[in-house]
Amino acid sequence: MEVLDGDVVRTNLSKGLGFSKEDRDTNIRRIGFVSKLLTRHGATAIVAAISPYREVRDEVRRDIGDFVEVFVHCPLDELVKRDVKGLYAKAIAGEIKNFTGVSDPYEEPLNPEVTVHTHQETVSESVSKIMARLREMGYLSDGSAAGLIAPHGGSLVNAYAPAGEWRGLQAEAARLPVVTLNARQLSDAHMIAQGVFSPLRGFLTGQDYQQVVEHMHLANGLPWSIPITLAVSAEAAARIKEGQKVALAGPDGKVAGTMLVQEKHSRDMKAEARHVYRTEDAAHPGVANLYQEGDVVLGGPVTMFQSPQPEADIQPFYRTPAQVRQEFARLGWKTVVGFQTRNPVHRAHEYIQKSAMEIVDGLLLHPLVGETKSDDIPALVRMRCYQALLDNYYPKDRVLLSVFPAFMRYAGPREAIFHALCRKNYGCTHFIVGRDHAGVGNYYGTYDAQHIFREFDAKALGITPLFFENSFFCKKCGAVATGKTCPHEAAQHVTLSGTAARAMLQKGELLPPEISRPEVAKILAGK
Amino acid sequence: MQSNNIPAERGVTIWLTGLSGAGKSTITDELVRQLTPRAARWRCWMAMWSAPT
Repeated sequence: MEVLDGDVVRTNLSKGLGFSKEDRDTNIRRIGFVSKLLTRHGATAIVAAISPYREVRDEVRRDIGDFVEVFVHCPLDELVKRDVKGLYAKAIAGEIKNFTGVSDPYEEPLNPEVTVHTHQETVSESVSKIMARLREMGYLSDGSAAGLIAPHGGSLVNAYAPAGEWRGLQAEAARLPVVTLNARQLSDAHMIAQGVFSPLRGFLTGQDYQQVVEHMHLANGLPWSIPITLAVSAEAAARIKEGQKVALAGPDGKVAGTMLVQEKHSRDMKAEARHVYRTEDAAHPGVANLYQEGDVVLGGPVTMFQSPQPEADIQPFYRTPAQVRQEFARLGWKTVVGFQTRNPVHRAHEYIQKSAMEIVDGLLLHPLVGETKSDDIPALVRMRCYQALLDNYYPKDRVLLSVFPAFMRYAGPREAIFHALCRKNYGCTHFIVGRDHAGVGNYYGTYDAQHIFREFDAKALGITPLFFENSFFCKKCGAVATGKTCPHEAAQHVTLSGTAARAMLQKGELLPPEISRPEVAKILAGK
Repeated sequence: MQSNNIPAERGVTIWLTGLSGAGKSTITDELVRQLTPRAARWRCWMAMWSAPT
């Protein structure tokens, strides 16, 4: 990539040229010539030059071919008012001759590929328009050039403000009413911003909310199964008007972003519980959380300007969807199976993962590291277990271990759909759904999380679910198997309930080798 | 911060035209940032996290 800035070019490549039409045209032809060489060699040339004459711009366009004209538009009176460099005042006073827009013509492009209006748009909005057009024209991709699956809805959302604007936005946010997010809401905001929840650009507004809760689709028809909401207290809501911006602070009080509150609406919590969690029982952790958050929710797009702050031990495994996609592209993987887990990987899971790995290029081992139930094994211990397992039992170039920074909702079947769509955004083509995915207690049938996929148009989902039955070690087979592959009676199967396993671990005992690899068992037993 | 875009292999000239002060350079800076390969930016990120705040 190379930048050719008009002001800089005039100090070397076009040194000595003046501002007559002839000299200006010569300047543009020289910039055009260098751009053509760069473009021809597969590079990206970015030219920033007034280039006032249409004819020579069009000549350069024809010459280069791969040419994207961006008309950076701002009304003259606004420029005169701004006059950052004080040049317009001088030009109007006649102190500078041949000043484009004042004493020299500017011929606007008739059919530019992109027009940005810098007096109405933020820098990031303008740049997003350019990036979208580049993508449309095939000059960049979300890895689709590398053969990766397209994100849900077509493109990855990036709702982080450009780093250069962070300080300014912080200052602006200091004057806005503050909405304090709990840890899950902050995690959601960052995941929206990173594109994990593409195509969502913010917390759901009423129409999307209703469609998602009742029909598991967004208003635009795309599948989406979990309402991503920002509930606020009644007091906080009373201070906020629709159409205004609010600052989003994390639980620590630090402002991490802003949100344009498009809608403030109330939700029927019992209906949401019934639809999403299939129960109104407040003993269900997801439902309990819903009731606790309350019925007033804000909807609208977010802009984040603080990085997520993962724990130190998680950092090396923290990758955004774009970064995971880049890794896939680098590894040359086209088909990737995603595995969601909030447990250590035992032999039963290893069997399922490896069965799936036989038909794809790679495995994304994607443990959830947001909040889980208090009796789940802590994320840091799990990461050590995964590492030990991968080091000893998996081919290095066929697995990527990265973390999924979401909180568990325990929405079972609906969460299986949600987990699959998020993994599609990370670049996975396949997703493993085992028994009681994202379940808790006895709220869902053992294979409900598999059955729910039938309710969707497979093409609209885009990611292929791989269903696996409960797996176990069979003494007679001498291997891990499932009911589909093992003919022996239950007495031959080595099973260990979660409760029994926890009891063993609390006593510092090693899990049996049929259940867990010794390297993993040792870490879990604290040895 | 990260961008979500991997430049494709095809070269291209992105030509920003407009009056002085309209924002060509500012937009160029941000475009460059978003088009810079992320591996490099990732290292910056990690450094940012490791730095005391």
